[in-house]
Formats: sequence, C-alpha cells, structure tokens
Amino acid sequence: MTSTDSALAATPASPDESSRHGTGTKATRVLGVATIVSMGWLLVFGLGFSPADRDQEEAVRILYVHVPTIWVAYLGFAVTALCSGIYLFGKKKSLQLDRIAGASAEIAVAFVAVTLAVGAMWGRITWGVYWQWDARLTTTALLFVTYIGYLAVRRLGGSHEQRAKRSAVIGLIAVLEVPLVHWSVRLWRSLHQEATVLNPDDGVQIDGLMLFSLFVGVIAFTLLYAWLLLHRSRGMWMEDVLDDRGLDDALAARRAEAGGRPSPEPAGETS
Amino acid sequence: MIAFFDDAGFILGSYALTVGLVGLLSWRYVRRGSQLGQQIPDDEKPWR
Repeated sequence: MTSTDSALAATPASPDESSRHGTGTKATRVLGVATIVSMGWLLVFGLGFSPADRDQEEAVRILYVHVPTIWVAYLGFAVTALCSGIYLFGKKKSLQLDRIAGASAEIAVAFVAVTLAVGAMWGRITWGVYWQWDARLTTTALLFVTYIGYLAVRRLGGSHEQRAKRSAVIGLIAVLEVPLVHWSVRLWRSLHQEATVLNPDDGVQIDGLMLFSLFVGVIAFTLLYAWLLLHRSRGMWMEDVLDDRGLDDALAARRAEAGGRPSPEPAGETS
Repeated sequence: MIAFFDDAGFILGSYALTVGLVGLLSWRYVRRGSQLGQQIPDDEKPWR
C-alpha cells in the first residue's frame, strides 16, 4: 500500500461517518486504563515480588494467571445463565439480555482457552507432561467444547427471538458443568491439586504475598472481562440493528471486515 | 525481576501467551465495534 493509499484509507468516506463512533465510551476508557494498570501490577507481583513455592518452586507464578482466568470464566458462564434465565422466565423478553449472555459466553470461552493453554505449561513443569486425561482437565475440556457448541447454536439461522430462546435453554443447561468442573478434584481421584483458597476444610493456606498476587490477578481479569463485555455486547447490538435493516447492510459490514476497507456508501446518501 | 531459572521459558511463555490472546481478542472487539459503528448514527446508539 502506498502512502497515498494509506492517507485515503484513513480519511472518512463522508463528514457524517467521521462523527460516528464505535463501542467505546468514557466508561470503557476508564475501565480500559484500570485494566492495563492492574495487568501491570499482575506482571510485577506475579513475575517479580511473589516468592517461589516450597513444592512447585517458580512454576507457582503460572497460577497467578491460570486460576484467575478460570474463575472469571466461571463468572462469565454464570452471567450467561443468569441472563438466559431472566430472558426465558422473566416478564420482559429483552434481546439485550440475550446479547449480554452471548457476549459473556464468548469471552468466558476465550478465558477457558487461556486456562487450558497456560495449565498445559504448568503441567509440563510440574507433572512432566502437557496433558493428562485427569478428571479436572477432562471436565474443563468438556466445558470448553460445550460452550463452543453454545456459540455455534447462536449462529444458526432464524429470528433474533428464536436465537435468544434456543441459546437461553442451552445456557441454562451448560452452566451445570461449572460445579462439576470445580468439584471434579473431590468427586474423582485426581492428579490436579485441590483448591487452595476456596478450600472448605482447611481454609486459606497460602503465603500472604502469593495470596495478594492471586488477588491482583482476579481483579485484573475481572476488569478485563467487564471491559470486553461492554464492547462485545454493544457490537452485538449493532449487528442486530444492521441485521434488521437488511441483508445488504450486513453484507457490506462483513465485506468491510474481511477486506479491512471502509464499507461502501449506501445509494442516495450524501458524501 | 525474576532470576534465571530452568523453567523460565514456560513461565514467561505462559504470560506472553495470555497477553497475546487477550490482546488479540480486545483488538478484534474494538475493531469490529469501530467498523459497525461507522454504519449507524451515534444518536441511535443507546450508550452514546
């Protein structure tokens, strides 16, 4: 691409379009800055200040990412189930509930992917292998695949109301896997360690600085989740609006996304 | 910062992988929102 092309690509197609904004607001900017700052703290404490563990040694540092991401994924799936339940059984059938449910599940699935990938690295150090068909690992993989299915069902054809109804049913059923994953280490003989913080028998048994690093991780990923949820649910709102306006607009948006070019002006609009 | 140790590749790799994946997802959402936002006037967006 030449410099002239770049300049043209950066120029809005019309004065009207130049005043149109995306999903960002002052709230998302504040949330975004808070997320970046807390992620920085996580790097400092997770990789720097936190001491090595007596048994796991330096590998414990991976847990400051591994544990918060799965906790926030649980939160995301719970939000999906809550919105699904309100949509199905509430008096007001708001499609915004369905969009929040969908956005939350999408983000939670990404967080489970991070948990699995990072957990594999921790397993390689601690167990000597990346993967074991252990109860915790297997149920987590099952959870991941289930919500991939949920997201696939959301993309099936039909009206927005049909999408909302069928995905709400799946969202309510799929969330039952979350306690199964969490309690799998107690239900079956597992290679995976039991809970350290949320241990009902022994209470919290962890060094203060380690606990603080874990806490920073939870805060950082929760802020990130909230930031992503705002952006994605607003994006879904616009997708639905464009969908309602007609197939032509939707096709133009997808062409623009695929080609990275500004979408063509609709006929009759001034430039 | 952390001292040199045997498993540094896995530990630093796990942080890099996390930052990369969530960064990619964030970039994709913002970019998608920006593209969609160009097609809808601001006064129709409930959050503006």
